[in-house]
This record gives sequence, structure tokens and C-alpha cells, in this order.
Amino acid sequence: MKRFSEQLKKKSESIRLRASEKAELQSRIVAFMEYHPLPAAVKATAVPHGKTNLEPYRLITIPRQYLRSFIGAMALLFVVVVPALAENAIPGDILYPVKVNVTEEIRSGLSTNSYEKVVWETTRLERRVSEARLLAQAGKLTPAAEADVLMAVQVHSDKAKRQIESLRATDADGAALAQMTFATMLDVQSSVLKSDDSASTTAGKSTVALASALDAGYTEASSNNSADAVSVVRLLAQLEVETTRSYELLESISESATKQEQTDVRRRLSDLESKIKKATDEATTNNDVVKTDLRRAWTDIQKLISFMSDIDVRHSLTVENLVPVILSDTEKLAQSIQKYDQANTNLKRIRFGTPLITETAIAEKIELTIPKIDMLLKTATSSMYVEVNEAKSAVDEALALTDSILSLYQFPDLVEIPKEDTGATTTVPVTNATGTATGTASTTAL
Amino acid sequence: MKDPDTTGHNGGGHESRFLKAFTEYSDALFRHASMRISDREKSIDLVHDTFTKVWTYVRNGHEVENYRPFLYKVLNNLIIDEYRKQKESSLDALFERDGVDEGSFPELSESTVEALAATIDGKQAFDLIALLPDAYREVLIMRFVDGLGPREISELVEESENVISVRIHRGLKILRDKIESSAKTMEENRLKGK
Repeated sequence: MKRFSEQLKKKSESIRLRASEKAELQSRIVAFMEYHPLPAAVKATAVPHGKTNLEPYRLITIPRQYLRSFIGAMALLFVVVVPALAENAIPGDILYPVKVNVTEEIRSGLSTNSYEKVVWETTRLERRVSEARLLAQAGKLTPAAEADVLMAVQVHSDKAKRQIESLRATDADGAALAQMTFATMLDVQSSVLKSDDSASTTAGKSTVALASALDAGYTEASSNNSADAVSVVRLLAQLEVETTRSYELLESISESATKQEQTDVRRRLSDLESKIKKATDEATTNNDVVKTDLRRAWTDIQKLISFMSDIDVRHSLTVENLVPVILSDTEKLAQSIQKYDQANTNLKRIRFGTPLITETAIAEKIELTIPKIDMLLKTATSSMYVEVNEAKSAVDEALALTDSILSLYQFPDLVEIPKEDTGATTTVPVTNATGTATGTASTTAL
Repeated sequence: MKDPDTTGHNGGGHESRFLKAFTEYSDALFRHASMRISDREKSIDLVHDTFTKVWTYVRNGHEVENYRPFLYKVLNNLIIDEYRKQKESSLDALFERDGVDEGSFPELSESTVEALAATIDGKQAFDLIALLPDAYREVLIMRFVDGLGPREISELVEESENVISVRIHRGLKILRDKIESSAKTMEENRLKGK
């Protein structure tokens, strides 16, 4: 009989509902159930066999064909969607712990060597500062929130230091570079915070404490003598890498940064390349000076990278704030000539206006300063085409002094009038409606 | 026999048990109906009606301890109703038409049924089972396709176990006769063809 039963059963198993028929049938029955729901009294009754509603576990059957899709959807949700949403979370958001404790920790684990780990911890520290700024802008940086940020900054800072020390055992050059990068980042972020804080000092918006902590960290990191240990060869190689990276970053911000910002960055990169080339040429003659120049170039290039990669930095600081332009001799000469002319014009105004000043003390101070200005301009004239740096220094000082004097008193403006007989010009003060040249003394002392 | 897979759940337990029963037994019920009435669309409707009737029964506050036999019971009644609609007459009439004298057969044991079944080819039986009177088809399908025991079948069709055993035995004999008859006809046709 067994054979008969098996054969009959096997044949009969070919008779079954098609998937579409079964789905259709199920939907009809479910619809029937929905239109004929159980009365509350029946619903409240326990199901047979005395099973209670307190069973801790329940078997959920998921059709096999949906299981793969379900797993895929869950994987997509937890691997892609949640981390992506968490990236923009700030302290207080529900996804913030995912960002800090999951996504960032996983990324940290993906760093293959100590140098990358230091770079990543540095980036994390930047993120914390950036989050603090966002909280401050929203007026939500309460003392408690700031304490949390300070704690997080300290944690990342300690981790970075540990990684640097770990790196030092196997790669002293790499550790020195990481140390410099870390110090530079602290410096940049501190500058950003100070820039923000100068505009807002109200409760919930002030980041003074955080800026102070970063300053302290910068002082400690930059005073570490380990940076001296880095070799010129390693510095040059790493600068080559960072320069290439900088140009790539510059390309990437072509739409987000202003034309002026891009021009400024390009100019600084060009300056740095010149500096690096010069250092390369001199590498064999004066190693210490070259090393100092290259270390400065490294710091500057890190600041530029920070400027390009961190939108917060770009909004708060200018390129000139971070990396002052390096002028060529020709540019210095042109600039010095321009400043010389300005200082000279200022001096003429001062000479005309000083007799009009009624406050004797101010007039005397000005009279005493004028010879010094004369001397500086004379020095500038003699060295302008010989030693441009000396000329520039003298002109800068002369211009600063004249500007300072002009701020003391409202000196009359001067105009140049051509002489009819010779064609030369003469300078006269601009007069007021009554035909007198008058001024007003400032209360500020010279 | 209780139905452990469809018993006892928490809130919404009635609904979940019911839907679980659908998932587990809808194919078997459809197979049963399809083999009984040889109409796919009608079989689907009968399965649908089976579940809606059971749901209504549950709504009315009754408890279904074991869904499987209960569903078969409802389906079986619906199939009988369907026969009546088709004016196939009552079961009694069917027996009379086929000359079956129910209950006159000597007492049968399971081993007797087994011995008879062993002489029949299951594949051929599948092709010819539709030719049997429904009373025999019903019990044979329940016994050999649905895997129900004589006691369960007797409860479903509301007959004694002895009657069910007789019916199964006779059904098998008729089935074997039809198979032999079919083979004979085929052989004759083959010879005629030569």
C-alpha cells in the first residue's frame, strides 16, 4: 500500500494553487475578515489551549520569496541610509550616537596605519568643533553641551597623541608630520572659533572655552620638538603629495568657492611651490634653514587644505588670514612705491595741517615725528632698487606713522593745481565754504 | 489530534491562527476539492467559501481547537452541496446507482486494505480516480492523498469507522477493476490497430 499511497500522493501534489491564485484567494479572505471583524468580546477571549497574551516570543513567518528582499532592505537601511542620515547629526539628535559611536568608529577601524589614524582622529576633532559651532549658531551651546564637546575634543586629542607616539616608534618622520598637521588643525579651528566668537558672546553662543582649549592644545603640540626630527627628503616627498591633493581639492571647490577665493588659493599654492623649489635647490647647502622653510610650507599647505575642505573655515576666515601672500621682489617693489607715494602725500597733508592745530601737545608730538618719517622715506628712496626688503620695511613704518598722525586730527585734504607759467603743479589745501582750511583734533594720543 | 502550529497566540491570536491555517492548508484543501469535482475555478471558490464559513464560525464566538479537520469538514459539506446543486442526487442515490450495498461487506482490517492497495498502480489510480462515485473518491482521497486516518474520515463524513473501511476497500476494488478494464481496452485497441 505504501507504494500505492506514495505514487498517488506524488501525482496529486501536482495539483496546487498557483502563486497568483493563492495570493488572490488570500486577499479575498483577508478582505472578508476586514469587512467582518471579530467582535470585541470575541477578540478579548483567549485563544484555545490556555495560551496567554504574555508569551515572550512569537514566531513570525516570512514567506521565503520576501525574505531576501526583506534582508536586503534591512541591510540597505542599516548600512547606507541610517549612517548617511547620521552624518549630519549634531549633539542632541537621535542619530548622533550612531555617527560618533558607530560610523566614525568603523571608519577609524578602516585606517590601515597609524598616520592615517592620526589624520582621522584630527578630522574627528574638527567635526566636534564644527558641531559646537552649529550649536553655538543656534544658541544651543549650553555649558553642559560645551562640556560634552570639550570632553569629546579631549578624547580625540588623546587618541591622536597616542597614535603619534605609536607611530614614532616605527616612523619618526611620519610622526613628526602628523604632529605638525595636528597642531595646524588646532590652530585653524581655534582661529575659526575666535572669528565666530567675536561676533557672538551671548549665552549659548559663546565658544570661548573651546577656543581656549584648542589654543592650549596648539601650544602643546607646536612646542613639541619632535617636528625637528623630520628629514628634508621625507618633507619634500610628503609636500609633493599634499600639493597634488591641494590642486585636486581646488578643482573640487570650483563651484562652491568664490572666484576670488580660488584665485587666492591658487596664488598661495604657487607661492608654496616656489618656496619648495627654492628649498630643494638649497637643500644641500643650509639644511636647517631649508627644513624650517619646508616645515612652514607644510603648515601652510595644511591650512590651505583645511580652508578648501572645511566649509566652516571658508566662511569664517579668508585665505590671507590663514596664509599671508608671499610677495615676489617685483611685487614688493611695486607695492613699496605705491606705499611710498601714499606716505609722501600723507606727510604733505600733515605739514600743511599741523600749523592749524590748536592743541599744543598734539602739535608738538607731530612736529617731533615728522623728521622720523622723513628719515624713513629717505631710507626707502635710497634702498628701493637695491634692497627691496629694507625699502619695504621703511615704507611700511613711514606709512603707519602718517596714518597714525592723520587719525589724531582732521587734516585738510590737498589738491594739486598746475602753475600757469611753468606747467608744474603746486599743492594747496581744500577749503571749506568760508574759504578757510580747518581741522578737528582727535582726543586720541599719538 | 491537536494542531500545535495553529494554536495559542497573543493579542490578535484568532486572526493570526486563522491566517496561519490558510497558509498551511489552502493548497491541500484545493487539491482535495479539485480531485473531487474536477473543476479548478469551482475548487478555488469552494476553498474560499470554506475559510469564510470558518471565519464566520469564529466570529460567532466558537473556538476552533484544531483547524485541519474542521476545514476538511466544512469543505466536504460544501462539496456535497455542490453535487446536490449539480443534481447528482444524494449519496444514497449514488450508492444505489452504483449497486453498492453499504455495510454488507465482511469486517475489514487495515491489513486487508493494504494488501489490496499493493496490487494497484498509484499513477494509474490518479488518472482514473475521477471515474469513481464520489462516496468512494471522497474516502480514497482523504485516506491516500490527504493522509487522514479512518477515525478522522469517519468523523468528517459522519459515518462509523467500519463503514469508512468498507468504503475504502470497495473503492480500491472498483479502482483496480477500472484500471484493469482500461488496460484491457487499450490492449484490444492496440490489437485492432494491428
